[in-house]
Amino acid sequence: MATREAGKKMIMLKSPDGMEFEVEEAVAMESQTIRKMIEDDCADTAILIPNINSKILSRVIEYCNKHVPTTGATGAAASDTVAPAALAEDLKIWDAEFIKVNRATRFDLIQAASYLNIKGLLDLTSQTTIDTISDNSLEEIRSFLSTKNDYLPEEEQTIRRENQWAFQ
Amino acid sequence: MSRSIFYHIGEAIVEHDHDGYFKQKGNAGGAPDSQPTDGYAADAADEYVRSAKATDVKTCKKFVIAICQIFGDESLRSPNEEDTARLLAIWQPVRRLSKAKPTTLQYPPFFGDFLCVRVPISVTGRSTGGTHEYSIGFVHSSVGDELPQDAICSYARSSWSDLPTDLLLRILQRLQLQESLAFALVCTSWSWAAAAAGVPCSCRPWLMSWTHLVEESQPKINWSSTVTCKFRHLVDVNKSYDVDFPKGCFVACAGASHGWLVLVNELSNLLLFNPFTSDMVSLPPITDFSFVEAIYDNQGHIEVYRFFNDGFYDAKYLATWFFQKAVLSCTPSKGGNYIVMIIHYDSNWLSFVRAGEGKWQVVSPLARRVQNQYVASGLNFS
Repeated sequence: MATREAGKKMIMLKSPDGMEFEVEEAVAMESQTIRKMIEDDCADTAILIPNINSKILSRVIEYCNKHVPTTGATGAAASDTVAPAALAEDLKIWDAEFIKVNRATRFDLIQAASYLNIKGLLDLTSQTTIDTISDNSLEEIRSFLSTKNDYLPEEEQTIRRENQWAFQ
Repeated sequence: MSRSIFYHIGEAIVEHDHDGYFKQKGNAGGAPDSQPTDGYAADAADEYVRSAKATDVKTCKKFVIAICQIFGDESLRSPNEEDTARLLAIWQPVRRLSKAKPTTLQYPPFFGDFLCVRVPISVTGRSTGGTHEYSIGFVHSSVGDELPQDAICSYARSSWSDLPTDLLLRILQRLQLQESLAFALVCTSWSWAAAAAGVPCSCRPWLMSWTHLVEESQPKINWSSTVTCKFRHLVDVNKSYDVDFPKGCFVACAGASHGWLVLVNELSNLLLFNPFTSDMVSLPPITDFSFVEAIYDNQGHIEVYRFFNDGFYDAKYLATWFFQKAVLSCTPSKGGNYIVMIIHYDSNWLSFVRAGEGKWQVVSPLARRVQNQYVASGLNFS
């Protein structure tokens, strides 16, 4: 583990396409998966994140970087200058901008959040998916998420009939 | 791991243990020794069982090699037709829950893992660098950089319908009932997730109103058709949903618990009804109470009920006032061992019936004084 500044441990994260990201330990620890690895001393050199490509990994790190001061132990420095409520409001706006990505990226992000077990990002990505589902009709959900409808027409009709009230 | 599998593996290893490595030998002090086989850091057992790191690593390698030799032929080959059929059969009950017929194109969500993912297993680790590729098998390997690209990429799922079930369950938890029903209709793998999450089961209460039935004077209700009630969700009370009840089963509602309604039908009998699955459970008839007697018309249909050999009541009219309150101790879904408790006949009687029993048991003909106590303590009786 390289040490760049006093008191700040750096962790090397590797994506499967060969890119390497050096991040502060506190940032990497936003991910419960990586936190477990570090705590169990399984992270002596670089940590390979086997199923997240560099594009998504850099976005995930961007998210963790943004969120670490408010949730981590180093939060005191940031909240001295800005009121916590205003900071939370800022983060909300930042999150809303962050998640304005195309659906393929969002799909990769939700999987990355799940694999790395980053609660905040998981909540954010799940909520966006939930909003998509609640705000749209069935056909819109399918086309928006570009999921294949693998029901037979008669199957779909049967289920629709049984729960007719919900599709009014 | 189940005990039988554990013993099966243990016995197989001892049986094929040609060089006697896994045979329990005494240590220097004569006490039996133990060999840790997996799941630890190599030096984790230093203090605990006093075995050295080198011994542990050696044992682990020998164990893995033995497992691959003994079980590899069967467990590491590609799934054949028989395996496929068995795995699909395991999923049939879940499939039925989702109320759709299986088709040849549909596989359980985990099938992709078996059919597509080819993960190299590093049997002997980095020291010899030997890797063998098998169709099934996941080995947690710290030598991840030895994994070829295509194997890594096949982990990543490519479509929203292939999201891992735990993610889908997470999303489902936060959906309202009507949304999760739409969710289940998006594609079959989402419907499996919905079935696993217990849909249709609402986590938030619904309001049901049947005032339009009460307001109409009795003879005007059209008994030959289905009854429709308005359901409102607490999240958005301005939107109402029309839910249909089968013909004749709804004259009044005596209570609701655990997603089920306790309805009074046109013969003044109680029944349990789940409005979202349309499941129905009949309860013992009203004539079960000793003071109620049915009087039949010429065609053998119940016409009126006679109380204590003097008062006569029309069946449909009786249904509107005879039962005051009903509660369920638990859900009748999935064979639940529920108890239905009712307060009836001018709130004077308290009776109950257990799941599967054919008789009402009268607790007390003077229910009024127990009513408050029972409401306060929930269903605290046996």
